Amino acid sequence: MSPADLLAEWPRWEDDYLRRIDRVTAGHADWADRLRVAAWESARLVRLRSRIAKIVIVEAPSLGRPGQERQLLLIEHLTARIDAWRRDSPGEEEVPISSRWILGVFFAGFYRCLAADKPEAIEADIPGMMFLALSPYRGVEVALAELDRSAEQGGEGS
Amino acid sequence: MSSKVPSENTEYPDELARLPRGRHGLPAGFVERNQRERLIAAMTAVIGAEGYSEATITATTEAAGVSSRTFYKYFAGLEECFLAAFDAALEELTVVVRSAFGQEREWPEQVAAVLGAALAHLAGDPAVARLLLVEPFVAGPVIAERYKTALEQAVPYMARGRELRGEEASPLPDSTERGLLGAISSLVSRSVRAGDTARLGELAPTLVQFALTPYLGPAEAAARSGRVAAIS
Repeated sequence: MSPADLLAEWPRWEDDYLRRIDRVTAGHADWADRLRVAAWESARLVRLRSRIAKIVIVEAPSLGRPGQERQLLLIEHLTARIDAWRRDSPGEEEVPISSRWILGVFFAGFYRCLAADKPEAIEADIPGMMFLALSPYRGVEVALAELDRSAEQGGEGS
Repeated sequence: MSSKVPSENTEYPDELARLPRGRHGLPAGFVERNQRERLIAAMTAVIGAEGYSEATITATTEAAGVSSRTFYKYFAGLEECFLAAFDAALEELTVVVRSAFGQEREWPEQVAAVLGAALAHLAGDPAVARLLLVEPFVAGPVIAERYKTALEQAVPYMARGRELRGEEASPLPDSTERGLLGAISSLVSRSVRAGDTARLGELAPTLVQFALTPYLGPAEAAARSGRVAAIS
């Protein structure tokens, strides 16, 4: 596939991915639960479609400015979703700018595994990423409980 | 190495000035160092302006004021020149952060000082910021690996924060430091890619808070970050 072909497919990949995320997170009220479910679903999709995932997360900048812009846009779409989950979460305080941090934790983690061609390793890292993402908001000891959660507890339908 | 393109000075050449034409009697070692550093500075400037994918040896040699023959005397190709520029920029940044680190005694203040100094340094030189934080993701696996190695070197320094948690505290995940450094670098890189390099200093309080949270807890981390002024 040429870079132009890849970029032409990108909107379809992104729409499909974001629709899946919206669907699996819809049944949860607390933003941390939504984040966890979204993370596990993303890891599952990466494992199933690792070639596309690597293009989107690792190789996009090498597709030139259009690839870089598409990646930045996807990141903004995901950040906006986390902002909305936090805003809608019962009892949650006003959303500060830090949803960018949350997304950054996961983006860096997914990138690390995909760049090393180890997409299957992402699922093992999800608890650690959830710990870093939640610590500033729920406290360290509460966030450490994420380490005991498995895919069955954090995946779709949980 | 900063991104300043070599200036002309025919009277007394500084490290990056073009050498006088004709026989100049300068020591061979000086000439070699001068030419190599001018190529590195030129590579940095070209990458800052065009990115690695658009960089060429011609553009680099023209900016450096040397011939392509001289280029190949020092570098086998563009990638090798990029690596040299990356290493030089990283070394310069390392000097800056080591100085900041050494001015503080306590680990939380050291982390804050290092982050602040690094962001200020990068904000002051957009070409270097792009060279260190954006282009390694575009320039191929060898350069990406160099970037990853550089980030790994900070892991032991971050891990010192574990000593502040106390013996009774639950152990942090093994992935904590790599995750923190990856997230910090991802956020800063994204700001550079979005054209916000000059405002990197504004990230300092937030990044300090997030970096310290796993070790100090959110309240203490927020209090410490509150003492960090956004750098403009």
